[in-house]
Amino acid sequence: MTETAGSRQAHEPVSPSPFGREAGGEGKTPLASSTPTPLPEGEGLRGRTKSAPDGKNGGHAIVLSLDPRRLRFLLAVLLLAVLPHLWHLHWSHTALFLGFWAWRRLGIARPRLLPRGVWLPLLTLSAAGVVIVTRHGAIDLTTSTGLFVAGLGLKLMELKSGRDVYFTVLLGWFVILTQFLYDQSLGMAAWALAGVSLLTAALVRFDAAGWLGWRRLARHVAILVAPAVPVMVLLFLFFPRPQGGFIHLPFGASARTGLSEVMEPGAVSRLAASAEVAFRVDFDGAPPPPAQRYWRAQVFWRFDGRRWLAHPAMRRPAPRPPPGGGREWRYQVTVEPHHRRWLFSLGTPASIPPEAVLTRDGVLLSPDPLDERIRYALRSRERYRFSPLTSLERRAALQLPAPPSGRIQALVATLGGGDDPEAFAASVLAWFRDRGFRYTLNPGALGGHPVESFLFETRAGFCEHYASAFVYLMRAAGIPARIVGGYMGGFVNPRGGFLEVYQANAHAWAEIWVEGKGWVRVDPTRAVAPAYVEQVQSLDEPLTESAAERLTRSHPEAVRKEEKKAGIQNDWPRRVRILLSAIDHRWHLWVLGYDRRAQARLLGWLGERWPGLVLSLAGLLAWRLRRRASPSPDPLTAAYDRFLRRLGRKGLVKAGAETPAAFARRAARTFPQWAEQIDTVTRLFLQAHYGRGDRRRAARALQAALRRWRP
Amino acid sequence: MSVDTNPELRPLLAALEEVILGKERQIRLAVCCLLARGHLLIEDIPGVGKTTLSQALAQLLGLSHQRVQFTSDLLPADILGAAIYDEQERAFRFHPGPIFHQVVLADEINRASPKTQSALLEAMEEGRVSIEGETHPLPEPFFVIATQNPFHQHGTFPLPESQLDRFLMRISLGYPDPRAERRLLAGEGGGDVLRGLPPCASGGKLSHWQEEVTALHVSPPLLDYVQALLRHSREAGEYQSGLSPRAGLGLLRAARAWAFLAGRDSVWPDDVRAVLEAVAAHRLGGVALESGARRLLEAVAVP
Amino acid sequence: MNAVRVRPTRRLAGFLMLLSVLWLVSANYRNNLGYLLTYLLAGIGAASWFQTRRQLAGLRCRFGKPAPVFAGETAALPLWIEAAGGGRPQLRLEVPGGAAENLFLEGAWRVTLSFPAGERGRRRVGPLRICSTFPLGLFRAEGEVEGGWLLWVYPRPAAQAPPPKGAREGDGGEREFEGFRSYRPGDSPRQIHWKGLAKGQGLVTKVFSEQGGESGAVFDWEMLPPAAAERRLGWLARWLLDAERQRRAYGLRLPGVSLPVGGGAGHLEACLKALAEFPGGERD
Repeated sequence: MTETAGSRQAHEPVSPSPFGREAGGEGKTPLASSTPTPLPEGEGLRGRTKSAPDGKNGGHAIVLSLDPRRLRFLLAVLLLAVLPHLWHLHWSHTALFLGFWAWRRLGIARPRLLPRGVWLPLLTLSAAGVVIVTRHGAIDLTTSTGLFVAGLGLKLMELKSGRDVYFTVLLGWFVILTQFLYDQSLGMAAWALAGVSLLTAALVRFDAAGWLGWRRLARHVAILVAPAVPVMVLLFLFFPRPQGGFIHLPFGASARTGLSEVMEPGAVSRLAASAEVAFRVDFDGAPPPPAQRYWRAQVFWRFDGRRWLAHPAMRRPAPRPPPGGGREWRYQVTVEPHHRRWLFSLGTPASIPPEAVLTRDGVLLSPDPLDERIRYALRSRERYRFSPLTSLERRAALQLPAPPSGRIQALVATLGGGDDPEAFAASVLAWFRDRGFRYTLNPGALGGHPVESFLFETRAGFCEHYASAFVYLMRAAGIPARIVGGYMGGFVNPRGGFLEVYQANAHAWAEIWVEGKGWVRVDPTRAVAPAYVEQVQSLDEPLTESAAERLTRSHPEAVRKEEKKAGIQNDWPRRVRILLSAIDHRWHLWVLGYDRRAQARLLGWLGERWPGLVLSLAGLLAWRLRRRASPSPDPLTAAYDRFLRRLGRKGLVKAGAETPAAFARRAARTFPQWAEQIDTVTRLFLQAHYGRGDRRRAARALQAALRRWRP
Repeated sequence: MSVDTNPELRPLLAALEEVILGKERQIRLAVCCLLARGHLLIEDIPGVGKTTLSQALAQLLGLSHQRVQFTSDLLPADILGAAIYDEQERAFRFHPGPIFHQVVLADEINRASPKTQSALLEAMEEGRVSIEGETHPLPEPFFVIATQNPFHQHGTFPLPESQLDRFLMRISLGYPDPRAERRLLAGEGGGDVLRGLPPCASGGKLSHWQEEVTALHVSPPLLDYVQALLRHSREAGEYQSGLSPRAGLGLLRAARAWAFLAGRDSVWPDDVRAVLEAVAAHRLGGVALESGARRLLEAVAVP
Repeated sequence: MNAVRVRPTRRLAGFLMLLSVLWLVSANYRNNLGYLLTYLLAGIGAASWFQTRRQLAGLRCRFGKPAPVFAGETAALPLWIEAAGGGRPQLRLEVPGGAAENLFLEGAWRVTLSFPAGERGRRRVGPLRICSTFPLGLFRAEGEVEGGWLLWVYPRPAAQAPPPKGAREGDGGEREFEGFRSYRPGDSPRQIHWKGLAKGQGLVTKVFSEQGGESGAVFDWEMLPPAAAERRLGWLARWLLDAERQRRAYGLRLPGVSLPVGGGAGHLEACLKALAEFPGGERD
C-alpha cells in the first residue's frame, strides 16, 4: 500500500512534546473547536464529504512503498548476494542474472521498458533453455543453481507489490545458501553475513512507513542481528543433525586439482602452478623431514604408449596394510573437496581410517567423491615389509605397449642392464643429469612416440615426463616399476603448526621393486632439478612459475639467495597469507568440522557436567533479574523497600498509590506494638526523600534502625 | 482529623472552627487556598454557611472586605467602579467599585451575566482595573471568594471552564454532621459568634506567611509525583480535559500551603493528595467530579 | 493503552517455510555454513518478535476532542501521539470503520484520523487501534486505546425545510421601576438618577424589579407538521442554523427538554446537542 499525499498532510510534527507546548496557554485551541461550521447549503455538505479521505481499510498493517530509492537499495543488495556465483557457475548463468538485473535497474527510471504480458513467460522459457543447453542437460547442482539464479533475475522483472519484495528477499537469503555449496571459506562466511544483514536491512527499509536513514537502519539491523548470533551458536551446537544425503545431486562443477585420473605426459603442454590448498596435515609431534614428504594418491600401472592408467585389479581393497618398521608418524589430514575419490597418505599408510579403503597398490580411496571437506586420522611408517610380488603384479609392473625399440634397448644396454635394479636406476638418473635434460613447466607437446621423443629429442619436461620415461626404461630393463601420483613437500605454517600442501605441489615419481627391499621410491625429477625439488620440499609457499623456471637453470645456492631476498621484500604480505591460512585451517577444524560425532561428543561432555552448568546458568539469570528489578541503586529507596518487604512478609502491603505517611498510619494501627519503629523509619525516609535531609546519611540511619528492629 | 498544625496558625483555625461547626477540612482548605494566593470558589446549596465562611475568613485575617450580591442586571461597572462627574471639583472622579477591597465576596457569581463575570475574573487575573485609560491597582493581598449554586437554575450563567480555571480551589461544604448540627441548633457558631471575635492576624502577617509558603522545599521525587498525576489525567482518557500546566502549578502551590499549615518545611505526597480534589476536580470536567479526582489518586503510584 | 498482543502474520509462514528449506538443504549437504545461516535467520526472526513488541511500548497517546459533526459527514479525531525512546518507523492507527493512517512517528505528532460519523447521536470515539509490523513484518503487534471523548453527531440539517411557522414568540420582558435608594459603591451608572444629581440631590440609585427574558422564536417539536422523527429533527437543525446565521434569537422545545430563547455559538451547540440526544438516535 502506498502512502497517499493526503495522509502525509494530516501529520504535523510537534516539538518536543505536546504537553510542553500547552504551557503557552494556547494548547487547547487546535484541538477543541466545539461547534461545527454551520452548513448553509446542501452542496456544502456534499463538498465536505467528498474532500474527506475515503474509507479504504487495508486488512493488514504492512506498509510498503515501491519507491525508486528503496528499490535501488534492494537491487544493489541482491547483486551483492549473487556476485560470488560468478566464480562458481557457468558464465552464461550469471550473465543472465546480470542482464535481468540491469534491465530492472533501467526500469526504475523508465518503467515502460519493463517486459509485461506475454514477454514474461517467453523470457522464462528462453532463460531456462539457455541454462539447460549450456549444461548439456546435466541434472546436477550447478544446473539447478544456474536455473535458480536466472529465475531470481526474472523475479526482479515483476516487483510490483510488497509481497514481491518479501518473496525476493526470501530468495536472496536462499541464494546465499547456494553460495555455501561451492565455497565455505571464512571469507565467504563474512561475505554472507554482510549479505544477510543487508537483505534484512532491505526488508526493514521496506517495512518502514517512511525513508529510514542509514544510521537508523544500521541500528535497527544491528538489534536484529546481534541477538540472533547467540541463538545461532546455540542452535548450531545443539540442534539435532540428521545423517544427511537425502538427495544426491552430482556436483557438476569443474574440478580444479593438480591430479587427474589419467596421466598423459605428452598431451599436457603446460601445468598450472596453483597456490590453492590441496590438503592440510596436523602431525602429532614433529613433521617428517622434507625428503620424506611424498604424499601418495594414485598408482599408475598400465601404459598404452601415450597414457598411464590405473590397474583395476590393483584397486581392489587390501585387507590390511603391510607390516611396517622404523619411525612412525601420526597425523590428521583435512582434504579440500576435489570431487574425486582419492585420499592422501604420507608414503604407504600403516593404518586404514574408517572413511577409506586401502587398495592393493597401497593408496587410500574414499567410497564417494569428495564433494565436501573431510578429515581423517592416519599413521605411516618409515619402512614396510612388502609381501612378494604376485605374478599378476609382476606382469602389470613390467607391462609395455610394444617391445622397446632398438634405440631404447641400446640405451638400456649402455647403462648397464637390469641385473641390479638400484645400480641401474642410479645410472639412469646420472644419464638424465649429464645429458642436458632440463626441467620446464612448458615443454610443448610431444610427437608420435612420447617417451622416445622425450628421451632423445626434446629432453625437456616436468615430473610426469621424467617419471614416465624412467619407469619405461626400468620396465625395458626388466625391473618391475610403477608411477605414483600425488603431492610432494608442503609448507609448515608457523602460525598454525600444521603442514599445508598446495595444488602446485602436485608431483609424480616412480617406485621400483627391489628384491629383499620391496617397493623403493625413486624421484627422477630430483636428478634433473635437485634445487627445485629441495626447494619444493621445504617450501615456504608455492613457487611461482618463473621462480620454478629459474631454479632449474641456475645454481641452487644462488637461486636460494635470490628467493630469500624476494622473500624478505615480500615479507609483509607473506605473513598475512600465513596468518590467514592458519585462521582458515582453524575455521575448517572448529566450525566446518563440527559434525554429528562432534555434537555427540559435546553432548556427552555436557552430560557429565550438566548440574554445575545448570546451577551457574540459573545463578546468572537470577542475578540479571535482580539487577533489572531494582534499576536504581539509591540506598535510601532500597532501605525503605527492605522495610516494606519486611512488613509485606507480615501480610501488610503498601499500595502503589499509598503515601508512605498513610501507610505508616495504617501499619501502626495494624501493629501497634511496632508503632514506634514504623514511625521512625517512615520519618527518616520522608525527611530525606521529600525534605532537605541528606539521603546518604538518612539511608545509613534507616539501615541502622532496621537492624535494631527484628519483628 | 489528627493532622499537625503550624502553631502560628492554630488560633486562626480554632476561631474559624468556632464559627463553622464540624468543617475542619473545608476550613483548612480555604485557609490553604488563601495562603497559596489563590482565589476560592465555594459551591453548595444555599444555607450551609458559604457566606459565613467567606466573611469569617476575611474578618479573622483582619482584611478589608466587601460582599457583592451578583444578580443578572449587575454590570461590570457595578463591580469595578466608574468615573463620575463631581460637582464640587468640576471633574470626573473615579469611584472605586467593591472590587477595591482585600477580600471580595462574590455571592452567587453564576447569577451575573457572562460579561460581568468576566470583568471580575479579568481583574482577578491581572490584579488591576483599567477604566477610561486609567489603571487602578488592586489592594494587596487580594482574594476573591466566590460562591455559587450548583444547580443550574433558570436565568443562571454557569462559569465556563476557562473561568473556573482561575480559581485555585473549588470546595463545597455539604451538610453538617449530626453532632455539629446539634450544636448549631443549640445556638452555637454562625454569624453571631463571628461578630464577637477579634482578628487573629493582619494583612502583613498573611503576606509573611505567604512568603514562607513559597519558600517551602519541593524535592525531585515529589515533582515526579505531580508530573505523574498530570500525565495520567491527560493520557488516561477518562477525563474530559487533562490538567493544564497552570493546574499543575496551582496544585504544587496548594500542596506547599497545606504542608505549611501542617507545620512542615517540605512537601510530602500527602499534601498533594489532600489538596488534589479541591484543586483539580473542577478542572478535570465530567459529571462525577469528586470521584474523578479520587480515581486519579488511586491510579498513580507514589514515587 | 491496554495489553499489547503480538500475533504472527502470513509472512511468518513464508519465513518458516524458507527456514525449513534452508535447513533441509544444509542437512542434505552437511553444510555447516548453511546450518549457521539457517539458525542466524531463525535468531533474526525471533529478535523481530521483540522488536515488533517494542514498537508499541512507550507510546503515549492522548485524544483531542473531536469536533461535533452532522450525521453523514466525516468526523475528525485529533490525537497527540508521542513515542518515548526513539522513533517508530511504522505505526498504523485505525478507528473501527474508519480510514487507517500509517505513520513514521518521530517524537510527538498531532494526527487527525477521519472516519464516517454515522448516525445522529452521542457516542464514545474508539477504541483506537494501534498496530505495527516493523521491522520485518513477521509479527504484528496490536494495542487498543479506549476513547476518552464523546463525539456529538448532530442530525443532518434538511436541505429544504418548511418555513418555521410553528414557532412561538417568547415573552417580551419588561423591567418595572420600584423606587430610589441612596448610592452604594458598585451601583450601575445606568441606574443612577442623573436628573436628581443635576438637581443637586446627590447620588441616588434607581431600583427596578427583576424580570428576565428576551424575545425570540421558540422552535417547538409539537408544533411541527407531521413527519418522521428524523425528518423533523432535520428541519429543526436547519431552522436553528438559519436563525443563528441571521442573528435572530431562538429557543427550542422538545418533549422533555426546553431551552430558553438565546443566541450565540454556545446556545446553538446546546440546541443541536439536544437534537442529537433526542430519543431514537445512537448512544454510547
